[in-house]
Amino acid sequence: MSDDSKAAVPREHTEHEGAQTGSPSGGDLGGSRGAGARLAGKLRAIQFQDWILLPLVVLLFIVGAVASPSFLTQSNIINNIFHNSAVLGVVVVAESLILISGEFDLSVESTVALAPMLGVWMILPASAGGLGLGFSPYLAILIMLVVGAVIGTINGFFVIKLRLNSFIVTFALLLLLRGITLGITSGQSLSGLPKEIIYLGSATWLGLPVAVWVFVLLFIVADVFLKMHPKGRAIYALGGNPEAARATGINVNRLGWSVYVVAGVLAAMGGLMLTGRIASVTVDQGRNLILSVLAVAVLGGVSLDGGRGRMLNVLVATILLATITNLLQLLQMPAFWVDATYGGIIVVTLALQGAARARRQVVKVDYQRKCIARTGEAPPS
Amino acid sequence: MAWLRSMPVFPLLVLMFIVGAFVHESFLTFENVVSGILYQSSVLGVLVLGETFILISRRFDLSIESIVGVAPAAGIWLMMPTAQGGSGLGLNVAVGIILIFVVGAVVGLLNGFLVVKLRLNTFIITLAMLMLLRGVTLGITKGAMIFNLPPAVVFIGGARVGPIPVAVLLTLFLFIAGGMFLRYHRLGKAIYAMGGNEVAARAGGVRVERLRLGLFILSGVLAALAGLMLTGRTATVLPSQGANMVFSVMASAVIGGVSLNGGRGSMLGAYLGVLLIGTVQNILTLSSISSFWINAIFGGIIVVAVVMSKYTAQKR
Repeated sequence: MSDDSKAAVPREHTEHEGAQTGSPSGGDLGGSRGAGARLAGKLRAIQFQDWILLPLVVLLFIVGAVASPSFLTQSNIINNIFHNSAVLGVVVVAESLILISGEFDLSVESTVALAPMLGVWMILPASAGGLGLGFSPYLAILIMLVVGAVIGTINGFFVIKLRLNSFIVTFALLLLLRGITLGITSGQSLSGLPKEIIYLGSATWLGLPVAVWVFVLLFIVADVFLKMHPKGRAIYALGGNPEAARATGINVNRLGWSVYVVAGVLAAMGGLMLTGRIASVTVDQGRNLILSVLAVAVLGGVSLDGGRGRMLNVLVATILLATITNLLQLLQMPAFWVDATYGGIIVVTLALQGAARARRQVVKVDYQRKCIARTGEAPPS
Repeated sequence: MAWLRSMPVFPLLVLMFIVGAFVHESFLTFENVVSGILYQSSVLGVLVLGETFILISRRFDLSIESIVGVAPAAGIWLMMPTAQGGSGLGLNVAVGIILIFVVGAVVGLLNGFLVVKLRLNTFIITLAMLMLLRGVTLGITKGAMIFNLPPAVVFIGGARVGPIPVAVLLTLFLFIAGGMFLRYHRLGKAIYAMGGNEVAARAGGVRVERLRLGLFILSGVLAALAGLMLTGRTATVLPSQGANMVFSVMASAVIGGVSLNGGRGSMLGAYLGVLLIGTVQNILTLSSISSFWINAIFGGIIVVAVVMSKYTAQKR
C-alpha cells in the first residue's frame, strides 16, 4: 500500500473531489430537457474560477482609476504592476509546471538566490567579495542556469528516483540551498555587477522592460506548450493519473524529472532577473517567495493535486495580485496591512470558488439521482 | 522493544547523541540536555503535538506559526500601556492570558470551518491564513517588539521548577497525555480511522466533520500556548515570532514517522522527531561551525533524516 513516499502534500480524496472535474452533463435525460439542459451543462462545465479572474482585474482597474489619479498612468502600470510581478511570474511558471505534473517544489525560492549568487561570486574580483575567476559575464550567466538545472536534477533525484515526499524534501532543499547561499559569502551581498548580468532586470525593448517581455512571453509559450505539444499534454496526464499516463507509453520518470530540471532553470532565470533589478545579489533574495508563488498558482486554477491548470489563467492571477498590492500601496496602506489583505483576498476568492464547486457538486448529485430514478442506470460520465 | 526499533527516528537520535558527545564536552550534561535541547525545543514540541493530531486525520495546518505570533500579540497588546507598545486598555492580565488561548481557538475554528465545512483546499486556506495572520501581527505590534511583560505572562515559558523549566515539564506532560489519548481513547482511534479510510470511518459511526473541526480548534489553542511559551522564554513579543517554524514542524513529524497522508504515526514518534531536530540544532550551536553554514548543514541533515526514515521504516 502506498505510503507518503510519492504523494505530494496530502491529496484530499473525499468523495466530493469528483466535482473538480466539472461534469459536462446535459441533455442525456432522453431529450426531456433538451437544448436548455445542454446549454446549462456546458455552462456548468466551465470552471467558475476560469472566468472570475479577468473581470476582477478589470474591476480593480476601474476602482484604481477612480481611487487614485496616479493609478492609470503608463509608468504605474508598466513599472509598478507588470515589472514588479515579472520575477514572481517567472517563478510561478516554474512552480506551476511542477504542480501540474503532480509534485511540489518548495526550493525554487532558494534557487532564485543561490543560482545568481554562485555565478556572480565566481567572477567578481576578490576585493569585492568574489572568487576572482574573471571570465566572461555571459559564461557566468550560463553557469547560473546550469546551477538551476543541477538543483532541479537533485530535486528530481530525490522525488522521482527515491520516491521521497516532494513537500518535505524540497523544503529541506530550500533550507540547504539558502544556507549555502549564506555560507558562501558569509552573509554579504555582492554588488558592482557587470552590465551583462544586470541586463535582464533593467534594460528595455521598445519601451517595455525586458523583464516584462520575458515574463509575459514565457507564460504564453508555456500555455501553448502545455496545450499543444505532446510532451506538454503528457505533463497533464502525469499529474492527473500517472498510472494511465504510464500505460499510454509516457516515460513518467523521465518526464517528471525533466519538469524539475526545467523548473530549476526557470527559477535561476528569475533569480537573474531579480538580481538585475536590484543590481546586486543578496542573501535574502527570494525569501518567502514560495508563499506568494503557491497562492498565485492556486488562484490561477492550478490544482495542488496535479493534472490541472491553465497558464494564461495563472498569468491573470499574477497580474491580479500585483494590481491589488499596487492599489493598496497607492492608497497608502501601511505595509503590514498589505500582507494581511493579500491573505484575506486569497481566502475570499477561494471561498467563492469553493462555493461554486459545492454548488456544482449538489447539481451533479441531483442529476445523478434523477438519472437513476428515470432509467435505473447511472448517467454516462 | 520491537516498537522502538520500528521507529527509524530512534537510532538517528542515538546517533546524534553520540555525535554530540564528540563535538563538545558539555553536550552530555544535564544542563545542556534540559536547557539546551528540551527547553529550546519545547515550543516546537507543542506545535508538533497539535499538528500531529491534524496530520493523522489526513489534513494539515500551515497557519500555526502565525498563531504563535498573533495570539500572544493580541492578548498582550490589550494588556500593555501605550507607552510600551500596547493599546492602553489595561486589560486584566488573567483575562488577557485567557484571551490568548481564545484567539488561537477562534483561528482554529475559522480554519476548520473553511476546510471542513466549506471543503476548501487545506493547503491554500491555511497558507493564506498564515500570511493574513502574519500581517495582522505586524499591524498589532507596529513592527516593534514588546517587552516588560507582566510576570504571569512570562511564567509558562520562563519559570523553572528547580533546575527544570516549566515549559519542559508541560510539553512532556502534553505529549504523554496526547499519546495516550490517541492510542487508547475512542476518539483517538477514530482519528486514525478517518485518516486511514474516511468512508469506512464514517460508515463506522465516526463524526468525521465534527472531529476534524475539533482538531483544528485544538491545534489553534496549542499554537497559542506555544506562542505564549515562546514569549515567556524570550520575555518579549516579537512581531516575527514563529516565522518559518511550520517547516520544522512538518519535518519533525515526518521524521518521526507521521504520514502526510494520514492514518499513521504516533505521538512518541513525533516527540522523538522534535528531539532530533532540537538535538541537531543544539549540536550545531555548540560546535565551532561558522554560524553562516549552520542553515546549510541543518537542511542537509533533514534531507538525510528524511531519506533514512523512508528507507529504514518497517512496514506495519
